[in-house]
Amino acid sequence: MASLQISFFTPNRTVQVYIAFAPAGAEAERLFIIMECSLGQKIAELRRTANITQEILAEKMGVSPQAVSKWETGQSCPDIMLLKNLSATLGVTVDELLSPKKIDHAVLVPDAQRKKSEDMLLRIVIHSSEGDDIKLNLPLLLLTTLIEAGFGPDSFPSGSALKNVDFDKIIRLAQAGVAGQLIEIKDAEGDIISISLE
Amino acid sequence: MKITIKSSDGPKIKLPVPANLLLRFLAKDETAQTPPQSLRKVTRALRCSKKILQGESLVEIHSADGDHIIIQL
Repeated sequence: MASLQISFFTPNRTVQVYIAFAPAGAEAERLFIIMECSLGQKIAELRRTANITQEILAEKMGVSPQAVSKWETGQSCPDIMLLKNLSATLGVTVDELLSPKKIDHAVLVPDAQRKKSEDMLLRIVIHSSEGDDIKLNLPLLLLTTLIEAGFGPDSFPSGSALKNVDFDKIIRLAQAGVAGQLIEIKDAEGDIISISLE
Repeated sequence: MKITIKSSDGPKIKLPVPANLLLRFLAKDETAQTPPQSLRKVTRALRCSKKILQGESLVEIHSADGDHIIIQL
């Protein structure tokens, strides 16, 4: 599986698109696939980020380096009594350690794991360069109904940043099973706009 | 629908606004001529959205000055 990050640079903005491609031979429509992240992978990733070797982590946890290796390869799991100490050593909370990894790029979720598009959320996050933060969590069901009822982008005031967002396309992507971060834009003024489907 | 406004130096204001009332107000706008049937659909969608959001806010604005505006269903 290959992952591709495309960045477009224009005089006014930088647009980043994240795409994960399916391996060769997969169905043509399955361009994106979900990247699963097990607890072991997460431990390995966090350990590398914290710049700790398996030996040091093992010593801190009071286990053998082979045990840490087994955690990271998914052959075994750390004992529940070690979780608090392990998460503290890796610099995260127990909740963050055990929570599934947040999808930070667009993927095509397989049918079996796919949410109904009506149950999905469209998240729009705007971090302005002036320090203002705006978060919109729009359930797709509500968005679709609002557009049908005439409260769509056409009714937004002129100059609204959301007026040019193609919501129909986003809804179609969700219906096709796409999830994760769709786009991240950084404009010349330093505002960062991120749109994702969850 | 709950609208919470908290300014950095002022009191916290919580405004419970009936979603139906707000929709009727928006529908009276000349640009959006919404039939009552569509309004009923939106009301239903709002009710379902409350479950989807599971306590998360619909809109959150945190200004650099320390003011917060939160809209929850």
